[in-house]
Amino acid sequence: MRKIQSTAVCTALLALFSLLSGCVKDTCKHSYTYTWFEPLYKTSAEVRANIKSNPATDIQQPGKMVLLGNYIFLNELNKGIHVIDNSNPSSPKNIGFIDIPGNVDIAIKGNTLYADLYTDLVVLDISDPTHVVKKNIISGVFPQRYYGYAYLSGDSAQIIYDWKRHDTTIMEDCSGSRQIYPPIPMGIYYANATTSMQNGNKMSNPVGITGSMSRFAIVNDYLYTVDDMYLNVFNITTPDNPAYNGQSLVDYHVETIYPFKDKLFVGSNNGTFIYNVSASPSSPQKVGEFTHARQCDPVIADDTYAYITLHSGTTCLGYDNELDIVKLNNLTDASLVKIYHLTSPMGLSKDGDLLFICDGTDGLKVFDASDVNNLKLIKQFGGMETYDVIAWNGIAIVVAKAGIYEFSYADVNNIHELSKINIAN
Amino acid sequence: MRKIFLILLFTAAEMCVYAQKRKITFRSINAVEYLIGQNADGWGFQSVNGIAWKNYFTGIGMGTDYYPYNSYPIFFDQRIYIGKKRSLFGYGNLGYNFNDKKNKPGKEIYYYSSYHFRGGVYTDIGIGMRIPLKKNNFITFSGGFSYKEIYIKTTSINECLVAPCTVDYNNYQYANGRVTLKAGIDF
Repeated sequence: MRKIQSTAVCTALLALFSLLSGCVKDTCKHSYTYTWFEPLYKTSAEVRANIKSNPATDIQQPGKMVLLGNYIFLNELNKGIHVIDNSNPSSPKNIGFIDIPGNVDIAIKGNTLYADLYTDLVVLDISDPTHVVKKNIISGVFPQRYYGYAYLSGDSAQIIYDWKRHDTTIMEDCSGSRQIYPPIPMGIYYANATTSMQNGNKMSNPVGITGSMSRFAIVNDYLYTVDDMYLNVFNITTPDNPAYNGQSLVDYHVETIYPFKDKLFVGSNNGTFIYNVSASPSSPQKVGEFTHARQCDPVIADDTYAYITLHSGTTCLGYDNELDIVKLNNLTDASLVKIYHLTSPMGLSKDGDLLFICDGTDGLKVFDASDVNNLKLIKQFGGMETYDVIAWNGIAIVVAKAGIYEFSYADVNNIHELSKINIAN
Repeated sequence: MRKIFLILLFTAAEMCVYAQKRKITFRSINAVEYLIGQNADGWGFQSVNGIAWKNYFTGIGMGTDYYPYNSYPIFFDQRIYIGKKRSLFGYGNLGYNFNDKKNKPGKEIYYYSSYHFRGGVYTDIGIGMRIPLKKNNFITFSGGFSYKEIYIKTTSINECLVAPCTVDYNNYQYANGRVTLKAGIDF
C-alpha cells in the first residue's frame, strides 16, 4: 500500500513540476525615475549680443562669487552673473544681471572680469558695474566644457542658454542597460562655487576675492584656471586680450584652485597640489603635495597651514567628513597636523585667526584657529544648509540653500547676521 | 516584529484552547527546504503551527528564505490529507514576505546614494507525503512551487552646487518562482 502511495506521490510531483517548470523564473522589473534637462538654444550672435548689464533677476541657483570693493559678482549656474551692490552689507541690492550662458567661474582684476562661457573665455569691462561692456571673447580655451552629447545642436553656431526640466519614468526589465542619462554638462558637476581671501596684493588693480570652491585664480598678471585634469595659464598683462600660455597636467578630478601670495593650491579628489608661480609665472612649478583618501576637498591656506575640508557625496566618493590641517613650512613635505571631524564640510574661509566653515546642514561654523591643534568653536549659525563662504574685512558672505547671507564678525564676541538675499524657488 | 510574534503566540494559544474544547489536535510542522530557482539555488526553513481536524490542517507559519534576497515569510498554511492513513497531502501557503534588514542591493544595482528594501507577497503550493513514526509523529516530504516578491528602491543624488540637487529614483521589483523541496517533522 505504501509503495502505491509513494509512486502516486512521485508521479504527482513529476506532473506538478512539469506543469510549474515554466513558472520557475526570476523576473525583475525596473522603473527608473529621473530628471533630465532639454537644452534650449540661441544663436551665438544672440548670446554674444546679450552679454551686457540686464535688469536684475531672481537668484535661483547660485554658484561661485567674487568680491570686489562694494560689489559682489555672484554666478547663477550656467546662466550668468548677478551684480550685487554691497555698499551696505545690512541691505545688499541685486542691481543687475549679466547673461553669460554656461558660466560657472569668475575672476576679476581691476576693472576687468573674466568669465567662462562654456568653452570660451569672456572678458568684460566692469568699470561701471551697472553698465558692463563686453571687451573680448577668446574661443575654445576650455575644451573640457564642450558638450559632446547627442543633445548638442549640430549647428556649432548655436549655444545652450537654458535648460527645460523634464521628470521622466521609464519601465524596463533589470537586464536592460538603461543608459539614458540626463544630458549632464561636462565639467559642471565638478565645478563648484565661490572663492577665498588670498593674495593680499596691494596693487592699483586689485584682484577680486574668490572663494575656496573657485576654479579661477589671478596672481599678478596671470589668470590660472583648472579643469578636470589640467592647470591652464593665461597672460593678462593686456587685460582685454588674455593670451593662452599653455597647460600642465595636475591630477585626475581636479576641483579647485586657491592662490596665496606666490603659491597656488590646487585641490583634486586625491589631494592638494602646491605650485610656485614666483620663478616662472607662465609655467608654475609643482613644489609639494598632500594626498588623502578620495574626497571632494576645497582648500585654503595661510602662511603656515593649509586647511582642507573633505566631504563625502555622490561624485565625491569616500566616507569622511572632516577638516584636515596641513603644515606648510616645508612645502615639499607638507604634513598633516590634525583632523577635525565635521558633518559635511564644504567651502571655507579664513581671516586672521577666525576660520569659517560651511558644514552643510549644520550651517556656518566659526572657529578660533589661533591654535590649530585646538580649534575652538566660537559661534554656529544653524538652520541653514551652507555651501561656501568668503570672510573679508569683518563681513562673511555665505552661500546657502535658502539664500545669500551676510554676517558681521567685526566684534568676535558678537558675530551676527546682517542680511539675507532670498533664493527664488 | 514583536507585534507579529505576539499575534502568533496569541493565535497559537487560542488554537490550543480550541483544540482542547473540540478534541482536535495541535500540530507543529517544521521543515527545511531547498529552493531551485532559475538562476541559483537556495535554502530556507519553515515552522508551521496549527490545528488538525479530520483531514484538514490550518496553521500559521513563519520561516526564512534565502533566495535570492533574504526574507522572512509569514503565511497561512492550509493542508488537506488524503488516504486512509492520511499520509498524502496537498498544501497551500499565502502570506507576506518580510525583508531582512541586513539586505544590501546586489551587483546588478551598481550605483546609489541610499536604498530601501520592502517585502511582498509570498505563496507556496505543493503536495507531499508523511511517514509515521511513533506517537503520532511523522516525517514529511513535499515538493511544490513557491513564489515571492521583494522590492528595492534606490535613490541617487546628483551632485550640484546648491541643494536641492536632482534625485534619481530606481524601483526594482523582484519576482521569484522556485521549485521547493521540503523535508521535515510533523508532531
